[in-house]
Amino acid sequence: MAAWTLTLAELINYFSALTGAKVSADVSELVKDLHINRSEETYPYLAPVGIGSTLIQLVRGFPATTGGQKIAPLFQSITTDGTDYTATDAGVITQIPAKDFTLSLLNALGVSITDLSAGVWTGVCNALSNIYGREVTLENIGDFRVLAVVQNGSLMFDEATIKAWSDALSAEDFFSRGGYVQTLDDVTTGRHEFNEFTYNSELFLLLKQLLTTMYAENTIPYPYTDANLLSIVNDFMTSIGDYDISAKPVVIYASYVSFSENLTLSLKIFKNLDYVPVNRDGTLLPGYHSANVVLYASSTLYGYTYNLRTGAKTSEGDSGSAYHYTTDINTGFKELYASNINYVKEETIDGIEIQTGATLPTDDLDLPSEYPAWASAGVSAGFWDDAASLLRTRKMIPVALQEEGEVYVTPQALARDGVVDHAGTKAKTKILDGAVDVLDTPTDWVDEGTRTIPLDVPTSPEPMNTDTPVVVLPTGTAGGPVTVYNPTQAQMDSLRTELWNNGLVVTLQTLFNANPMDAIISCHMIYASPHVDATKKGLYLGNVFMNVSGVNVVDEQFIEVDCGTVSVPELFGNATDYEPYTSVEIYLPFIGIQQLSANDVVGGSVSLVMKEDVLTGAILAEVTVTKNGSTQTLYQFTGNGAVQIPLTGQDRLSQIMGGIKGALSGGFTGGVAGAVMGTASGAIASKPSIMKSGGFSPNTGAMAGKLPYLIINRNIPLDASEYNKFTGYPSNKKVNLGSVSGFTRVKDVHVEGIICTEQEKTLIEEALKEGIFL
Amino acid sequence: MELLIGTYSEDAMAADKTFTQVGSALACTVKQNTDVIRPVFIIRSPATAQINYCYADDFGRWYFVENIEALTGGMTALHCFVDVRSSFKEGIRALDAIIEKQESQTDSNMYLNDGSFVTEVRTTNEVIIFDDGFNDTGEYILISAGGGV
Repeated sequence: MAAWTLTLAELINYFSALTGAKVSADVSELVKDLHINRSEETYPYLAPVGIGSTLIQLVRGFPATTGGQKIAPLFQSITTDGTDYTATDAGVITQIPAKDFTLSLLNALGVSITDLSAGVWTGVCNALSNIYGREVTLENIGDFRVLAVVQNGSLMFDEATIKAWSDALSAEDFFSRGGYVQTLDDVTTGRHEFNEFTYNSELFLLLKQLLTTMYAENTIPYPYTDANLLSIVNDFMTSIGDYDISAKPVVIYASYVSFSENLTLSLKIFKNLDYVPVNRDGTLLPGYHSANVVLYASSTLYGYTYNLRTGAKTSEGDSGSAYHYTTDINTGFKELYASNINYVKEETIDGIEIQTGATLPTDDLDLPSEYPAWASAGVSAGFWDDAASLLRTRKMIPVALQEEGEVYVTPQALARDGVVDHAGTKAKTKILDGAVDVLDTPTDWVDEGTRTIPLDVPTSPEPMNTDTPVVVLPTGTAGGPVTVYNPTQAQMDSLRTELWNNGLVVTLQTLFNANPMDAIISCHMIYASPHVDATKKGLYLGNVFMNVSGVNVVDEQFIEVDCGTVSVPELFGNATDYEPYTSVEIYLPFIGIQQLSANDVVGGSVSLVMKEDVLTGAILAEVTVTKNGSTQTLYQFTGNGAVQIPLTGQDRLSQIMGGIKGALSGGFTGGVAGAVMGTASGAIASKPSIMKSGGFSPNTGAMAGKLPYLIINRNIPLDASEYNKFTGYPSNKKVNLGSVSGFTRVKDVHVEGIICTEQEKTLIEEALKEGIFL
Repeated sequence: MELLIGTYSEDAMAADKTFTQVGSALACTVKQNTDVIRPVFIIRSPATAQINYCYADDFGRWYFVENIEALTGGMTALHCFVDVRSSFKEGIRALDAIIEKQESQTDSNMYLNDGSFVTEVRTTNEVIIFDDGFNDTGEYILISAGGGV
C-alpha cells in the first residue's frame, strides 16, 4: 500500500482533460467532496507489444467522492449531439480475464461462439500471443487481464484494446470465414492433374479398371469393347460441356446402377467446386481413388446413366449444392472418384459461426467509421498514469461478457451494448474469475478493496499543451527620421563618386556645420535579403540628392530567415541516445557553434529561425524543438551580422581595433573554457563541453558558413552480445515475478506468503537481489 | 529421512533446475547441531564426487552439495546449503517486487540510465544541415539622415 496525495493542480488538470473548459464551474463543487489523501495498491501489468498499440504500466484512478478511501475512475458520457458533458464518478474499474474478453469481443464483432472447441482456443491463444508478445497457452492464459470499467450496468473496454484485439483475431482468420485455413504441406504428393488432352483417356482407363474388377469379382468375363466404353466417356464429356479444367476443382464420381447383362453405369461430375474434397481423416485424395470422401461446400452437378451394352444415355437429373458421399474402400472399385485436386483442406472452425448480416471488422479496424453507433457509445474515463505522471483519458466502449462456463451465441448488436441482464432477455453477462461482479453497486465494490488497473494507452507522453508563445516580429518600422537604402554595387559606386564632389561637400558642410559624412548614419552589409518598398527612390543625404536614382528603400526593420526544420531521431532506442552519451551542438551563422541539450532535442525535430535587425545587424537565433506533441522555443542565441563599410579613416581604425578585440576575446574564451571544462569532466561516458568556436564578429561571420547545421556527437555503443542474459536491462518496474522470465535482479521485495524460516526469508531476499533466472 | 542425490547443470541462480538423480533414494540422518539452512546429511554410501545437488524429502527443500566428506565405515557426509530459489520458487513467483534488471525488454525501461550502458571513448559525429540559411553574398544597407523623397 502506498500513500498518494492528489494535488489541486492535478485535480484541475484531471477535470479539464475530462470535460474541457465547461467543467471549470463544476470543479469546486466536486472538489469539496474529494478526499485528497488516500491509499492505493499498484499492480503489475503485462504490456502487450507488437500490435501497434503500446500500453502504460500502471494506471490509478481518483478517489471516489463517497468514502474517499478507494480508487475509482471518473467517467465522462460520450455525446454526439453537441450537448454538454456530465462528469460523474459513478462506476468502477476492474479487470477481466483476457480469454473471456476475447470470446465476448468475437460476439460483438459478429462471430458467434457455439462451442468452445480446440480450434477456438488455438485461435484465441495465437491472437493473445501476438498481442502480448509472448507465448500464451491454455496453461498460462489465465495470467492475462484486460482493463474494464463498469458503469450503469454496462461493461466497457478501451477502444484501443478493442482495435488491437480485432486486428489480432483477424490475423487468425476469425472473420474471413469464421474459421481457419489448414494448408496441407505435401500439395503435390499423389496429385493427379487432368488436362484436356488426357482427361478422356484417363477416365476411360479408370472406368475400365472399375468394370473389369467388378466382373472379375463376379467371375463373369468382361464383355465390352474398349471402343464402346470410350464412346461413352466421350459422350459424357461432351454432354457436360467445355470448362476450364485448370481453373476449378472437378471430381468425377462413377458407380454402377445394376450389375446384369445390361449393366448401367452412372457417371457424375462435380465441377467448379468452391472447396475441394479431402478424406474424412484429413489425408489427401490422390488423383483417383475410392475412399471415404467428404465434399465440402457447393458445386455444379451433372449426372448421366449409360447402358454399357448399348451406350444408351439417360439423364439422372441429380442436382444439389452440397454433397457428402461415402463408400467403402475395402470393397474395391464398386465406386470411383476421379479428381484433379487434392491439396487444400478448408473448413470452418468448429464452434464458430459468422452471424447473419454481421458487420465484420476489416483487417485494420477503423472503429469510428466501421462501427459508428458503437464508437459513439460508452464513456470517456479518466485515469492517472503513474509511470508518466500524466492524466489520460480513454474512450471505453461497451462489450457484454459471457457467463462463465457456458456459451451464449450473442447477437452482435446485443453483444455491443455491454448491458448486464441476468434475467436472460439479453446476453447473460458476468465478470469472471475474481473480478468484481457488475451487479454490485460501486459502493459494494468500494467495500471490497482495491483493484488491479492495467490499461491500454500509449507509452509516449501525451502532448502537453505547453507550447511557447508565438513571437510576432514588429513590422513597418524601418526608416522614421532616417532612410534605409538597399543600394546595388553600381549605385554605391555612383554614390562614392558623388560623395567627393567638391560642390556637394560644401553643401553638406553648410547643412550640418560638421563633417559631411555625418549625413551617413551607417553603411554596412548584411547577408539576408531585406524587405524593400515596391517604389524605388532617389538617394538623398539629408535633403541633398546624390544623383543616384532607383534605389531600393527598406521598409521593414526586422527580417526573418527561416532555416527550416530537421529531425533528430533516436539512433539506438535507449538511454545512449541522450546525455551523457550523446551531445548535440548547433552551428549558427554569425554566432558560432553553440551547445544544445541532447535530452531536449533527440527524438524530436529542431526548427531554426534567425531574425536580423537591418539597421544594426543584430541577430537573434531562435531554436524551437517539437517533441512529444509540443512546440517550444528552448534556445535563443544572439550575434551580429552587419559588416561595416568604412567611409572615413576614423571608421577604419575603429573597425580594426574592434576586430582585434573580438579575436582576442574569442580565442581566449574558447581556449580557457575548453581547458577548464575538459579537466573538470571526470564522469564516465560524460562528454566534456568543449567550446568549438569563439565569439564571432560580423566580419568573421561573413567569412564562415552561411548554412546552419546540427552536430550530433555519439559514443559508440560497446554492449556485449546478449548482455541482457547476464546482467539484464534496466527496469525499476514493479512486477509480479511470475509474469517475468529470464534473468531478473530485484531491487526491492517484501518476502511474504512463503512458509519458511525467517533466515530463509532473508536468504530469498538476498538471492533475488543477487539475481534469479525465472 | 530420505535423500535424493544427483546433479544439476544450470546456473545456480536458476529457479527451475533439471535434477538428474543418481541412484535411488537414500536413507540418511542429519548430523547433530546442523540446521535446515546448512544441514550435513550422513548417508550410508561410499563417497562420490559426481553429485552436486540433493533433495531432502522431510525438509521439502533442495540443497546445493557444498562439500562431500568421506567418513569411516562407508559413510559419507554431505555438507549442504539450501537452494532457496528452487525450494521456494512457487512462492517467489507469487511475489510482487520492484525489479532492478530484467532480461526482457518488455519488462525493462531502456531509457533508464543506471550506468550499465557501455560505450567506447570513440565517438561519431553526425551533421544535419538545415535547408536554408543566410545568403552567400551581402546586401548593402545605407542609412542616411533624412532623404527618401
